[in-house]
Amino acid sequence: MSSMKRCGAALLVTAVVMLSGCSTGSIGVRSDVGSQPFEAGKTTRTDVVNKIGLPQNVEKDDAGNDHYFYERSAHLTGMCLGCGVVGNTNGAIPAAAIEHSKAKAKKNVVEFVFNPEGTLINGQ
Amino acid sequence: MTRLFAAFGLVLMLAGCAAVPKLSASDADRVQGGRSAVLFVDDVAQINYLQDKYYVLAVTQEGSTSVYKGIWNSSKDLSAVNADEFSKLGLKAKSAYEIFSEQDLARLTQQDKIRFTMQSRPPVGGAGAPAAQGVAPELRQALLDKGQDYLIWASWSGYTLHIQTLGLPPNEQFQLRYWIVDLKQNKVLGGGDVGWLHSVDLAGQTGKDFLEKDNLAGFRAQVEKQIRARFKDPPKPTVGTVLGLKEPA
Repeated sequence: MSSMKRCGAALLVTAVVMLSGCSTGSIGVRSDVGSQPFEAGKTTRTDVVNKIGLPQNVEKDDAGNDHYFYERSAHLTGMCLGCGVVGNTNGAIPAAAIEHSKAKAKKNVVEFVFNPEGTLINGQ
Repeated sequence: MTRLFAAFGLVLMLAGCAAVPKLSASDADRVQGGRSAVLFVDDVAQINYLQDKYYVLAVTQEGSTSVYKGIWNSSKDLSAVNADEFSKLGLKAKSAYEIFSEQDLARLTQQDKIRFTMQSRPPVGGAGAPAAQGVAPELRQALLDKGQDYLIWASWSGYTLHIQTLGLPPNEQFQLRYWIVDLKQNKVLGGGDVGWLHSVDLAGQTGKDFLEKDNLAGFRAQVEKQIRARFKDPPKPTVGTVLGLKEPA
């Protein structure tokens, strides 16, 4: 019984290790973007950047307003099955998986709009 | 091991780019004796983040970018940093932003930005155009009118922070490229690439916090520190030795 318990525990640990990605830090893309109490007409671009970091994309519209787009997650850029090192390796996994991941990240976006003076007009 | 792969990847990325030869000794002497405008053009304006994750049966890599265009005028600040370092090498160097207003500089450099770049875009004017030709006539004349003899155009690959797995430390990497243009002859005399790939201590923070908090304080400091170090870091090749402006120690 005790050997079965040990075996079960070992399996559990293995499964946890296999399923949780091991890394020496993180990028820190915030999944809670959009939940901060920013106030249109008061919050500035600097306030937003200081609070949640830089956006993943910036666009300027015809009126001179800046649109900041924040993704709530990083996206897959490479995957290597059965190897120890990855450097944008698409080999074993179809490029579709990476494209799907990118598209998913782009869908889950929060947008903040700043007027030319740098004040928040509206967000989310 | 990962560092080797990253270096190999960087080499692959840069393979195929037209190599810019370093200055001949006589050209280097002429550049040392003339006045040089220094222009750093950051046409990337975003931080690239990569994070490897180890899953025993697989390793994945995730990525994200952080755009700082319109938030930090990196071209202006890094032109000043480069001009300062070239001055320390004995050149009469001045940032192009001290010579022209930002609006004038944007207009004057528009045409050449797509040629003097590390971004993979179709070459304008045929293969090797940057090495064969100088700068646009308007930019050349404007610089000559301001008493400049040479233009040192600098650009880069952009900054990448790579968070690794299997106990390997995070690293930062970028590649700088310089072109030295003789304005009187309007031709590129030479130039060269200087790369940087090294581990970085995030002090327990996330990549974004390390670089972006306090109005990009970490990123600005890191980039300035590492660019300055590329000018004085023997036995690694320095900007001076790569460009032929200084003899290797």
